[in-house]
Amino acid sequence: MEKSARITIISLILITTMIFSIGIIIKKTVVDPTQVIDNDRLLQESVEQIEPVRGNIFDKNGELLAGNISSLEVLIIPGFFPKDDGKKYEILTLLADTADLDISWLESILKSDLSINDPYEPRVIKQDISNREAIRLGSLLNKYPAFEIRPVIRRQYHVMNSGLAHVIGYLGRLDSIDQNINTLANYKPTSLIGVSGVEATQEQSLRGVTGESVVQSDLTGRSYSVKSSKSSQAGTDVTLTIDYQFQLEGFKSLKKYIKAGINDARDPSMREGRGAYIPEGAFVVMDVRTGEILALASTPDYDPNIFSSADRSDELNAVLSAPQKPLVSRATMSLEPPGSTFKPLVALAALEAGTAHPNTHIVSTGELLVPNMYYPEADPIIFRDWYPHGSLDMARAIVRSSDIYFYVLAGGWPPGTVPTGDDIKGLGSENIATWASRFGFGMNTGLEVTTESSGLVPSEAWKKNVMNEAWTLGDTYQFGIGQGNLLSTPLQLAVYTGALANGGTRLKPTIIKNTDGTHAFEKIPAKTEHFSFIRDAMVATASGPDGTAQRAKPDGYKIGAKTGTAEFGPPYSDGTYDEHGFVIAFGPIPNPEIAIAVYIKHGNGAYHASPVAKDIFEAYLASRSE
Amino acid sequence: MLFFSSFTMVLIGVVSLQTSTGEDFSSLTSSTISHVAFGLIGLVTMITITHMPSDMLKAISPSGYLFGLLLLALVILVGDESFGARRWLKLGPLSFQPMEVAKITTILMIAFIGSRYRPGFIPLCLVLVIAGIPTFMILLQPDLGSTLVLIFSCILMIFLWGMPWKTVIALILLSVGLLPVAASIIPSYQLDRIATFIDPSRDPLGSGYTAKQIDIALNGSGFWGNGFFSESQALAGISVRNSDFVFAQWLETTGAFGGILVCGLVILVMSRGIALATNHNMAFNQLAILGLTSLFTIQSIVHIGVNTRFIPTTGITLPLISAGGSSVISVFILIGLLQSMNRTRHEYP
Repeated sequence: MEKSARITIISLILITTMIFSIGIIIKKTVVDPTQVIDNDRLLQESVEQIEPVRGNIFDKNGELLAGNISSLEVLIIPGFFPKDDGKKYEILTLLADTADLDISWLESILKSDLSINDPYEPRVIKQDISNREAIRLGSLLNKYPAFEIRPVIRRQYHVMNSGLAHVIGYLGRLDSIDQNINTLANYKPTSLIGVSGVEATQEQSLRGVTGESVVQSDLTGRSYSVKSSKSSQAGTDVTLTIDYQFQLEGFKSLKKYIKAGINDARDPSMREGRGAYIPEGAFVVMDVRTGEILALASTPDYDPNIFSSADRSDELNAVLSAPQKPLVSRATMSLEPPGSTFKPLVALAALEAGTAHPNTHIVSTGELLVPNMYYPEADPIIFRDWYPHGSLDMARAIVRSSDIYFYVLAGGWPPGTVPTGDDIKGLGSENIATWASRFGFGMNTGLEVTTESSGLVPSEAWKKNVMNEAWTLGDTYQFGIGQGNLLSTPLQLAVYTGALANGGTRLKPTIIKNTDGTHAFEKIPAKTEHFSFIRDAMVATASGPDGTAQRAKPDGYKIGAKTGTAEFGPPYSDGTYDEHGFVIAFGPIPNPEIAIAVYIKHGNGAYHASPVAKDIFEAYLASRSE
Repeated sequence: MLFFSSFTMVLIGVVSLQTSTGEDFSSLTSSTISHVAFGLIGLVTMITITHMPSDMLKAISPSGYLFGLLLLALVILVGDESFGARRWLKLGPLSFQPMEVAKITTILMIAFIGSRYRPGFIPLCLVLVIAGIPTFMILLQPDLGSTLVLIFSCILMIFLWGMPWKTVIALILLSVGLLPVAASIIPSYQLDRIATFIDPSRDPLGSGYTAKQIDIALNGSGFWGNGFFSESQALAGISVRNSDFVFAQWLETTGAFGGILVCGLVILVMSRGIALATNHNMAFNQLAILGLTSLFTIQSIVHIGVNTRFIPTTGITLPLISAGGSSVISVFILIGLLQSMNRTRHEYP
């Protein structure tokens, strides 16, 4: 083939392609229909949901506990940053300088995995900036599309150092809680939803109804105008039964005696590898007529605002990883044996079962020997009393908190021994378990919080199934003094105390003020005279010169109370144990209004928990007379 | 003729740059000024090269080729990254794309080989190696557009050189067959571009965003376009609209009319080059003229194709119109070379 022929072929190929190109150009510009008309052609319409304003949470006196503040926040949109590193760094440097932020932190936000996170989703980098600051930042940075200042409404909590944080709860973004939930009506994936506490249980009321607006925006997402909108409906306010000022008084006292309890415990250096003491405790105050919770505190606690502030993630991480576990609501979740606070229940059960009566006398010599049931030749097991009380009737046994009296009440005398007192038949573990359930042990109380443990009432079947061990007489003895496998929360103790105080009405505790004045309850089938007997014994416990709960009594008033000090954990080398202290109390006598349960992790029922109950009573009585 | 066309194209570039910013001509923007400046530098370069004897050009083409390879190697080793590709070499305050130069030196080197040896299997292998090395290095940057332009220009040269039809078709099939291999080298973002070419809604704000905006811009422009300084600039959000998408922008303002005008100028340059090649009988000059003309034309076609969305999005400039010093100057070098070879014919018939 001639060279000239080859050149002709090449030129034909090239010219054909060029003509084809011209054809495409004409098709695209002239023939193809115009996609959108005139100025609107850059705009697309999108429906944006308008978040409703969340309802406030007030205490019973109208004090604001959780509300909303409007503020300005600074956002960046990673997808709008230039890909060029130099230019990107230039903007970042400017941003870091003007907004006073750490540049490496900003970079880490940009670098966070963009394949998971939408790069066009704005990230908050600074919150609560002043108007002045917003104008200054805006004028410097508004030429960059990657940057935005916008007004927001943010949740703010006013429950610092009150022990109430767990009750109020906090909010979280829907998509961070459950990735699959983004079809939930009335929510966007980015909407805030109650995650815990009242915020979660009252979500229905607090949330409100989302509005809608039709927004015109260009393809980069910058909006131009709002075409139409349907306004949102604000959520309903929620009023709690909590008296916040009263709660603060109680919390102050709780912290004081937690500290005292740790001071009075052995030196931390002698703890034989158990680590530092955790300043842990809780109290619950319930109205025994309605079940309304007037105060409910747990410590350690935290500031719930760390969940709603983007720039406080360090504090949030510290809270999440702290060994004290501040997020655990001790008042409703800590599970401990109730110890001697359980004895009034056992006494009542014995009276009801007819296995004992108020005049049943038992002599406490300080120890009760139980022969080994399998090897009678072996040494008997010793069940001790904390003091050799001598001869006791039932009331004195409660006042002095005699362990031996209640061992015998629960399990009878050990077989093959000579009784030192009236020869009575024991109640038996199933009987005790039945009565424990009637008072609400081993089940959720139904308080409107998300964090509640149900505790445990042991039984022969439970021990067989879970521990694969046979139930022994020793277990019944432990059960009788509220130790062993029995586990309860301070909230359950308050409900139990309430039923003792009001003569057998187990109330469903509530933290939400309801307007119709009704309250749910269950009647405990026991004789009124038996309740009055127990009540009187507990009043004596709080008032007698040798009553174990005398430190719980406020000056000038009569109350009923019962302490509990339970040993826990492995024994130390000197044979002693760590102790935690409880007190349950009700008053004022003769017409009790409140029931109190106090729990101190490292402390004694008489010396550390009781004074907290006294302070709470005094604060209550003072607020009542106002 | 070549001078007229190139001058007009630079002028179109200036107008396009200036109007893209929405400014009128009372104050020139910095990108306009730099385009004018590069145009002038290019013009001087062109005139210098025009007056170089083509024998000398032939003699220096092997060293020019090696120099081009060296620059490409430097880019791979110490180049600057931009938009995910490593194409730039920094020299103090200036940065340029060695690929633009390497494309020309490769064409000259192939012409050099083609003028020395008769077509045959072993010389063909030599040509393939010479074309293959820079092509692969450009692909590594990665720059799919320039790779394709260089491959097709080389194939056209091989055809003119005298290789039989079957060999040329085999080479085309081989290049197409190697595309999946190339795809394994180029990063996923360019594959994304190919995917969004097929379905623009796949990624409304990424590369599909560009495609969608181009459709909006083109479909609305009509035969006469929206006119200069029109307010609705669908392409305003595209960062490389002055270089890789200059033609779409030009179409938005001047419509099919402007598009045909530019195509006409390209055809003018092309036909002038082909005429030169036809009237030449020196093997080196003929091959070089055709190679350079193909380079110019195919690059224009690819750019136009990308900008009218019948070729997947790939970053490639439109000769002389797109902003960018390396591109403008290298095209002037190319024109200078064509003129030099033309002059040679007149002086040594």
